[in-house]
Amino acid sequence: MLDFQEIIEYTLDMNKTATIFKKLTNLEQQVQKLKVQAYFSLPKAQQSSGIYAQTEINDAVKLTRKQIWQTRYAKKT
Amino acid sequence: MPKRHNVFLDTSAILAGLNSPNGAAGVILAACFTHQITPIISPQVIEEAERNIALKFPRLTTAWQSFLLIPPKITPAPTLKQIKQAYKILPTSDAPILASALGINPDFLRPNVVKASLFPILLPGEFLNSYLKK
Repeated sequence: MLDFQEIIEYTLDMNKTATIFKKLTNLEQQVQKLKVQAYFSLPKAQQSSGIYAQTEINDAVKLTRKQIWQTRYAKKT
Repeated sequence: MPKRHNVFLDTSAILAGLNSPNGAAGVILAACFTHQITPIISPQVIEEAERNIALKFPRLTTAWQSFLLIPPKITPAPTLKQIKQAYKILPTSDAPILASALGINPDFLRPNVVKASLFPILLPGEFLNSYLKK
């Protein structure tokens, strides 16, 4: 069991933590807003550079979707 | 306050956005994070994304987890009847995705699938230029 003093200290700590996380969330949202603005301001050439090739992603998703279709729905439709 | 659009996101759009945060799909995800857009996905989109991230694109894991924490709205799984109806519009393996989208009637659908439905279906760049540009 926590005594009264410990409850007060715990509550104060949690309030401080919550304040920090609220600030972080706010900052993150501001960064994302800037990203939307930057999309319309930056030259198109600087915008798209991904970790993986886009064609690789599209092909992988297409293949998975076909597999799900074949195993789950193809015989029922 | 401008209207928040409900946008159904396809797996390829989400993975493209996670893969390239500064591209058009990435900016749509950024708008989801700032609540300018309400993202909607289906259970199959989650399954497709998780399978591919685990097997082929492990470096997108953290970004995918952040996306799920927004959190997006998740549609119920479509019924077989709904899938059959969607299959009449789009007779391909994309029918279950279309069925999920038709079930909730979003403002927009963002897959690379069809051109025939009740709501606009757009590529990420088209969506940004038409509806998000200030």
